[in-house]
Amino acid sequence: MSIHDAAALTFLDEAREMLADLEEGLLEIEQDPENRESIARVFRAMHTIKGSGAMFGFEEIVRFTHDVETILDQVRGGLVPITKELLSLTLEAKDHISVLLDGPQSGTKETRAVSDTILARFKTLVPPASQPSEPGDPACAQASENGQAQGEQETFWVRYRPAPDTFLSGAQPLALVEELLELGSKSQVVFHDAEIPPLESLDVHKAYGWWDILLVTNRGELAIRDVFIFVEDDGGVEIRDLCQGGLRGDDLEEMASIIRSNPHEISASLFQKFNEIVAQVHRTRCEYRDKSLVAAAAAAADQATATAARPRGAASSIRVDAERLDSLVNMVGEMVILHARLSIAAKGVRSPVITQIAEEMERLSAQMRENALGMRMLPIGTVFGSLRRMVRDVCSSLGKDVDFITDGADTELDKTVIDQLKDPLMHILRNALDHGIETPAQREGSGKPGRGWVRLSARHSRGDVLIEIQDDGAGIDPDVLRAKALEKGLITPETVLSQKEAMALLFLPGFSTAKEVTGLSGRGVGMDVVKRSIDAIRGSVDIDSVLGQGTTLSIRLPLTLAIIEGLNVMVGSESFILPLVNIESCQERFMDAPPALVDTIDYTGKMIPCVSLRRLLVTPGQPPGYERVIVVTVDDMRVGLAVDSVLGRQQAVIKSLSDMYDNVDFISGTTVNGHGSISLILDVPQLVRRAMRQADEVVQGLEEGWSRGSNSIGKEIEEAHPRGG
Amino acid sequence: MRIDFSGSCTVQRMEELQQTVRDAANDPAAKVELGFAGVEDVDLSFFQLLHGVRRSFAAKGKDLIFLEDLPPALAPKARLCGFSQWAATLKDASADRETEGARA
Repeated sequence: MSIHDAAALTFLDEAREMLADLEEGLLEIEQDPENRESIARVFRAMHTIKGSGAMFGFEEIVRFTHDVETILDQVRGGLVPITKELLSLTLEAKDHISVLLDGPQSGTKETRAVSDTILARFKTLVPPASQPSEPGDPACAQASENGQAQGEQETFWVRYRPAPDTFLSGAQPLALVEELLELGSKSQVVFHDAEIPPLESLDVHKAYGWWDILLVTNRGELAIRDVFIFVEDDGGVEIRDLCQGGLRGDDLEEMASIIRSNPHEISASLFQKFNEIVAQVHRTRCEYRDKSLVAAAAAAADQATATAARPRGAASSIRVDAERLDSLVNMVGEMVILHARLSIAAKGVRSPVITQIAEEMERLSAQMRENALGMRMLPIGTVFGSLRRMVRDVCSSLGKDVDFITDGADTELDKTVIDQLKDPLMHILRNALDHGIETPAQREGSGKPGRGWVRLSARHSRGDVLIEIQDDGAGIDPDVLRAKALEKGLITPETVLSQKEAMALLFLPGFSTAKEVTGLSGRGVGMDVVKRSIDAIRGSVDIDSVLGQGTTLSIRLPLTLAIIEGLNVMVGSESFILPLVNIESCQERFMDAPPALVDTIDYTGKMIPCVSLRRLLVTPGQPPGYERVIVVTVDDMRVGLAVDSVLGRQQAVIKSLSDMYDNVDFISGTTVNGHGSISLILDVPQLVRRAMRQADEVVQGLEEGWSRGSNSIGKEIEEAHPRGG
Repeated sequence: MRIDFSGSCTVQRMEELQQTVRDAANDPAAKVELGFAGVEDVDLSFFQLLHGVRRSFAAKGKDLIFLEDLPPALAPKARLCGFSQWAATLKDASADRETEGARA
């Protein structure tokens, strides 16, 4: 891949980010049409896409965005009103740019036709006086200039020192200078060539030359900054408003001469000389404004001095391909395993030196793990933006008024988790909007405000991330769920369902309570897919609902899918990993009889259930007379897990199980131990739920047998749920 | 000897163009002429190359002649990159030649 291909790929990535930013800005404007910052943000995003698209030859994007940008400029200048139609069309334009990015640079016949249609629709929303001229029209440039809310003329000094590697990022410094000059009515340009080396030592990929530009314009500083919007981060652009009002050509020439004689620095004396010229001009023009002008110019000179003293900062972030990060995390995982081997070997050798090396490597590998995983962490807010748009569009099509409230957007999750979270969240939100939130008329009829709300929140909770989707809609009627389950033969008329069990029916394949199929939901395909998707990323999902008041759907997700801290335990000859995030403490118990599947133990003065992993996992062999009990927290309940022995803490690199183990819900993966053996990583919540379910089934089955007159099974009941500890 | 630049003289081709003028700089010929009539596009990297060439030739004491045949549409770009004197005469793309070898 050439440098320019790589730069073009970077452009595509950045353009997609810009589009997301643009969309977010538009949705903010919809909430607050007076938000000038969001309006400027949307304009800048469109301008950047156009500018950088031009560098990489995306002709159709440039053609399309040019006109859209012109209209946004007029919106910015207050000449075009912000209406719902305009915002909807701009969102459509954003979607279209997204399509253009994926297509050929010059577009296709079809995409060009779509561009024309959207632009034609834009024209119907713009007052005739503000219509942009056709491209190529000699009046175009003038009209565009007039489109901007024109202020007084100002004289600016702009120093543009392109970053040495500017060509590598696809920037075209000369084109930017030309674009800048188009903003002004008068200008003086000083090109500094002194740093360009002779041919022999010239690196042709580097930029050496730079410019000082004096510009008289009525477009304001913002328009100047827009020109450099995608190179500004390099720190090579400095802009000073020298004075209100345009200077004469002679004055500009005199200033240019001063620059030529002081080419290498921005010194206070340079600005002092500028200020003298400016002051002289203004004395002549308008004496009473003199004092304030000099004060402003002096302040500018002070600021210039401060800027000159400030070192030019290096880039604070770089863009890295996700595959490289995945590769890095894999390598760190392998290193963790290698370290475990080294630790075991060190124990065998009993050499203080080797032991010290192993300990230092342990510290280092833990830091590397933290850093490598940290690099893959993204704020969940990266998903919120697209969801906001989806909520808007769905509400619009359903005719419902809904506030979409987000909270905890900066909560970080592993990129892999985030990638797999978007679709389930979309599904859940669609359901909430389609079936949860009532129409305004229905809401008002039941005494609620006509406008509903859906809240999407994320926060850290007990080592996991908890995401909640809450609405103030109609809620779910458990009787309807029960009736539907009966109809489908999932339960018998005698079955008694708790609220939680009734809600869990929604996650069964093909189970839907929707009375009609809509374009959004109601086909019974969805919540089971949501559950499978969440299960696939080692998460869990629960629904709670209050009829008439709303529904809350909670998703609990692990922070990462790559490496976890765990406790290595043994049951028989099998080795297992219990994730540390689930563990609260360890204790032990003496056994004088075979353990029951679910027993009780005393934990800090309270009796808590204790699950025998030996019984649950049907482990062969004699149980030890002395068991370790690991106390974990599941569903806000403390539960003991009895194991034979504890080997110690271990960093477990999670390796996925093959698809054939999909139905084994209590194992979340495997890991390779230091000595090359394999440990299964247990999904503690699922494991405990399974144990409780099994115990209940045994009791229920045996009680049914008992009621039929058989009493030969009392011993089995005693085994499943013994009385006492 | 004479070198005629043509087509897109932008950063993508700059290594190739640099090699061409390097070869010319090392050529025993006392005088090198650079022609620009066929140039279709330019950017900063091209004018940096020309500045670099001018410095090298001046250091070696060789004559370098910039033919004033750069297409007029590109003259403003030349002016913005420090070739103001040269660019100013471009409207009259005559055979007048400016000997750059003498410039420091």
